[in-house]
Amino acid sequence: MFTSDEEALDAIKAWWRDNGAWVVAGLAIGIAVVAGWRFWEASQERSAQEASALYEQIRTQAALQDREQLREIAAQLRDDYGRTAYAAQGALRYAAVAVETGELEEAIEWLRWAKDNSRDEELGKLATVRLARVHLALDDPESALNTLDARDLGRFAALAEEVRGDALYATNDRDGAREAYRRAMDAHEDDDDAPPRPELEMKYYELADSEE
Amino acid sequence: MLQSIRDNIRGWVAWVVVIFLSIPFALFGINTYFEGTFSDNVAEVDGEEITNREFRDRYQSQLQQMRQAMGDAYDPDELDEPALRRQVLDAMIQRELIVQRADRNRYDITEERVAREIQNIPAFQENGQFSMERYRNLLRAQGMSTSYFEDQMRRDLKTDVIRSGIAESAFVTDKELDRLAALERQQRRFSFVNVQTDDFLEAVSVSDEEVEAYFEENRDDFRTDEEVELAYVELSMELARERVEISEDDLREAWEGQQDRFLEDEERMVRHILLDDEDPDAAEEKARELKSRIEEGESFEELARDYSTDPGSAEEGGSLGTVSRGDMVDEVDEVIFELEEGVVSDPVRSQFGFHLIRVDEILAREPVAFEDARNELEEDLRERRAEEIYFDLREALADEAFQNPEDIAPLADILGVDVQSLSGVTRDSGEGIAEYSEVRREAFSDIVLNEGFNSDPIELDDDRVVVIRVMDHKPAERRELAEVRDEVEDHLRREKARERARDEARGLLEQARETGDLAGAAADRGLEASEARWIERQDPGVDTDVRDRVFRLGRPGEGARVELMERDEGLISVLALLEVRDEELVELDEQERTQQRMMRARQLGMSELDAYIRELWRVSDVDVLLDEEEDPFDADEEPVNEGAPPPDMQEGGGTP
Repeated sequence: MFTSDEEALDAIKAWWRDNGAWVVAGLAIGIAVVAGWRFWEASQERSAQEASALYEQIRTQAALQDREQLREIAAQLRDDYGRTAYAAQGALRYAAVAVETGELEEAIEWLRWAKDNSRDEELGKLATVRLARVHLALDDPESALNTLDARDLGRFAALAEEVRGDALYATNDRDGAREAYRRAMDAHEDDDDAPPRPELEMKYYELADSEE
Repeated sequence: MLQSIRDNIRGWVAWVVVIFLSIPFALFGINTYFEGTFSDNVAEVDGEEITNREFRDRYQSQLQQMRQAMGDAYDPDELDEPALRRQVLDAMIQRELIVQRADRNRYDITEERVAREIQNIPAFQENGQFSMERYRNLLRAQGMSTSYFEDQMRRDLKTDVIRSGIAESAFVTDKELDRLAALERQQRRFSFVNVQTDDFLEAVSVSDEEVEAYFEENRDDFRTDEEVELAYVELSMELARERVEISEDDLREAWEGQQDRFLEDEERMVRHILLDDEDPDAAEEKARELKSRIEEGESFEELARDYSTDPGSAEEGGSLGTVSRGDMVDEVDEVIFELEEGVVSDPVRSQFGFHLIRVDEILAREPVAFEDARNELEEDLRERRAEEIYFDLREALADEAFQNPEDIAPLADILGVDVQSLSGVTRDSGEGIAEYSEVRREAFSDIVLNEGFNSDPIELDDDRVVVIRVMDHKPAERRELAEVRDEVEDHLRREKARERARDEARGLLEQARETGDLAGAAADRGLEASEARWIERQDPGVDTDVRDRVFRLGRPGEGARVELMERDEGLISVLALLEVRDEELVELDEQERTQQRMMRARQLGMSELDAYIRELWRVSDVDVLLDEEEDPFDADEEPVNEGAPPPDMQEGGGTP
């Protein structure tokens, strides 16, 4: 292509004059992207480790039932590490303790937070079903139904429809409840090898018109 | 197009492209692009592969576990392999899904946590304490490195954040608890009437025409079992034992080769000085002093005479004479048989005090007389030879079966036995060797039955091998009407009687529904209703089918709720649900409440975890590449039948 080395060198120089700035800019961007990514990774890693330590405290202390202390740790997880998956896990555990000690409003607050903020989307769906159940426990079937309706719960359908049945039953809609239980049973049957739900059958047949 | 790219490649475009291409390499490394692209996989879970090899290992160990758990009840014929394969694969996919999700959630497990969990595993502990040595040894025995094990542990703990996080945060509200308790304790009162098919047998008749018509229409149901007659040769350990011949020379030779085994026990000439331990510190001190004096040249014998508190030996210069293993107390015994000749031991403590010990001479061991060892020798030799013969014959049998699949007589010659025969073998039963399902399976296999070849050697238990050949085959045959007339007639009679019983039950049902009085309707038909009784959901005193049915009926309205229930071939029941009694106010005491709450929360937690995993599956990109019906492990071993011995016989020939 070039008749001599001179010419080749000139061509390269000329090329560099035209494009050098681009090359430098490209390299700079590349390096910045890599460094930024690495930095971000490391900071994520660090906050995951700190959150992990906090969560570990909840996990091991949930049995102790010191609710106030648990609440503090859960709150710290939520406020400082809300973007980690541990935060929702901590909220779920704390909510369970709150239900057990009869603090249902408290449980609702935390389950609602987990539903809306869980980094693990599927865990958020589980929180949704649980939230609806606590609404029911507070004699608020309207909120329970609204909670269930607001989200596509995918394969949580068997559980969700059972809760819907409970909610409709609470509003004295026996037909609606029966149909919901039926859907729950159908969904449950479609799930091969799922753990049995004798309670569900009991609730359904209680409302059965005739047999089967 | 290409030309323009080539022109531009010297332009800035090229550089930009190169730089952007290099970014992913810088981030993830080159190897992700080349890993595992060529293996055949059974599934892909969001880009992660589950290889055929991993799957196969897992499947085999699952089979192994089932075999161990079921013991004799394990029957490979009963096994639904496609279903089991799918089950194993599903479990692997689920595990992978959870691991990936745990990684994405950045569930990280610290080194300390991994260490703590491992230290808590009882198998790695000695006296309640973690033992590093035991840990290493156990893993090595399993063919695992510690780093591999620790990785697996970390993986398990990571997935456990998800599993236990869901399962342990499950709860049941008081309201739910009360409602379920009320339902569970509900009672129902019912009564029933049985209508028996047998009661109508006399009332119906079956004509010859009906029998013939039914027989003609269902000829295929009346057939004899398919049967084969087998010829077989059998090799057993018993046969091999009979073939063993042992000469006097053999025994002598074995005797020579095993001298070590037949030496008399070792004996040693020993002296000791005993210092009693009324004052242990002083005695030990004294013993050390005496030891150094002996080493500096003083006489053991004299010091024994002067200082030893063992009255029996002190006078003899401490001599204990010749000692065999086990003659002395353990502590002393151990030292005696470790010492070299002429060396004085350190002080040894026993129940008698401190000993200084010296071995004067180790006596050569004398061989046990040939005559005394003879029986033991012969027994050993016989068993060993029998095994050799057995294995040689088995190998010869396999070779011959492979080379000459069309004749069984040469196999009998090789073994020096007669060809035996066995008739009346069906797919499901047989006598003698046909009691083994492996034999029946081979007998009806394509190669043996249709091609007429000898079978591969079939192992029965650990010490028998047979090769079989089908000599005669009786296909299933239709039976004649004369043989089965009674059978057909009986069948038809029962069918008619059942129809009559059903009509009767329906009539009863309708009348009872109309009048709301089952007992009265039954009496009109000469039947008797059971006494009405209250039952609970788990009442042990009622047939479970009936009980479940009673609790599945809707609540009775004005009158009783009456339903029909076909219970088995000969029995139809008409059930009347009369009343339902609810426990309006269920008072659970505190303890019961806690118990129920825990139990129900645990069950619900399992269901929630199950749903979560299914949902993970739904939102992930899972490809199942496994063909469920086809056995992936045998894919290359399909027999090719073109006169030549099929390939799987070769395999039998290669592995004795």
